[in-house]
Amino acid sequence: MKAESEEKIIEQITLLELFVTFSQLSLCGFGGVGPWIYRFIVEKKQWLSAAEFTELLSLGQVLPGANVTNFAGMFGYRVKGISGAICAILGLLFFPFFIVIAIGIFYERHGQVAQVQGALRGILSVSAGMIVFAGIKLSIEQIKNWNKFYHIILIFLTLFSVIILKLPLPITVLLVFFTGLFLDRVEFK
Amino acid sequence: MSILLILFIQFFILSLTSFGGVSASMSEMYRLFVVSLHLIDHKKFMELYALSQSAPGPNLLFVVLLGWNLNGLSGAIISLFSMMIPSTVLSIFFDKLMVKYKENSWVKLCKKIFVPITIGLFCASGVVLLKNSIHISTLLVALLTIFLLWRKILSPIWIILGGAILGFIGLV
Repeated sequence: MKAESEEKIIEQITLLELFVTFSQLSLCGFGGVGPWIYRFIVEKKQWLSAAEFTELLSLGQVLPGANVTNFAGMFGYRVKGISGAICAILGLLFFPFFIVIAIGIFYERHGQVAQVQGALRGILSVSAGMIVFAGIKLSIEQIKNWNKFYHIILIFLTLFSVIILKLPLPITVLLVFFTGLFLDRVEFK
Repeated sequence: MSILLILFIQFFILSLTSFGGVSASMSEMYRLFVVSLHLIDHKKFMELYALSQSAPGPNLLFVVLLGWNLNGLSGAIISLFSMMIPSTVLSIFFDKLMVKYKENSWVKLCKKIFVPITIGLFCASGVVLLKNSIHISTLLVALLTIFLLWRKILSPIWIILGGAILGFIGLV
């Protein structure tokens, strides 16, 4: 049940505001826009309460695809339907699209210098750390809901399927999904 | 098969199976474009990934660079839209449903299953990145990154900048 206040706030957000706000937060987001969404949507603009935000975000955890972009789409749609979704997503992606291509072109021309190569290696190492941290953080968040045995099996099965068996991702997803269903049956029967 | 068609199909499928976003499915993109289809070499793939991390905006933009590299502007646009639209449409659809079905046990079960998949995929991506450069310095920087993020000492942009500088001066 949406609170009346939420509906009132949401009704008043304009398409332009959506585009501008998502553009702003997107341009702040190096290596990940997630924290900035919270900062802008909940703290600065107060378009959502922390609880509503968490709910929307956790829905994103069950769904495939970029969490942040899905969030923009869902939130934008809640504000003004399809046009809202489009404006929010456009805000998120428009300027960064051109920036990243510009970076790509710049790199093509000037990037073969040892120092730049080194910088990229450094960035890759940081990225590895960031991804692993995201995994750890997610595990910790969920751990209270967990039956450890069940979930650890699924995590390792995913890892095994991708890295060792090198199965295509859709097959991995199906494999782990049905294993999960099976384990669930076995546990709660 | 034309490159654009390949990009469209592969990213469409990825959009529907990337639990955890691009960070998670990056390992699959590696498997597809580098290992399986031989469309990009290992070095280029890693370079493009690092470049996408140095740019502002969602990690989704990595597919823009992949598409750009393979087929210029049209490649970039097709990749972006194919990767984005299926999952976004799905999300909007589910958002409308969820209001009604939040307490459904089937939904809870899916949550139980998809979160471990996401975590597993994150680990796989981490492995792909670390396999790229098996130096002690790489490992140290990765561990330092985890520490700094865990302790909330620095925000990601500074850590990325720091990593870039360390690499620039030749320490990584």
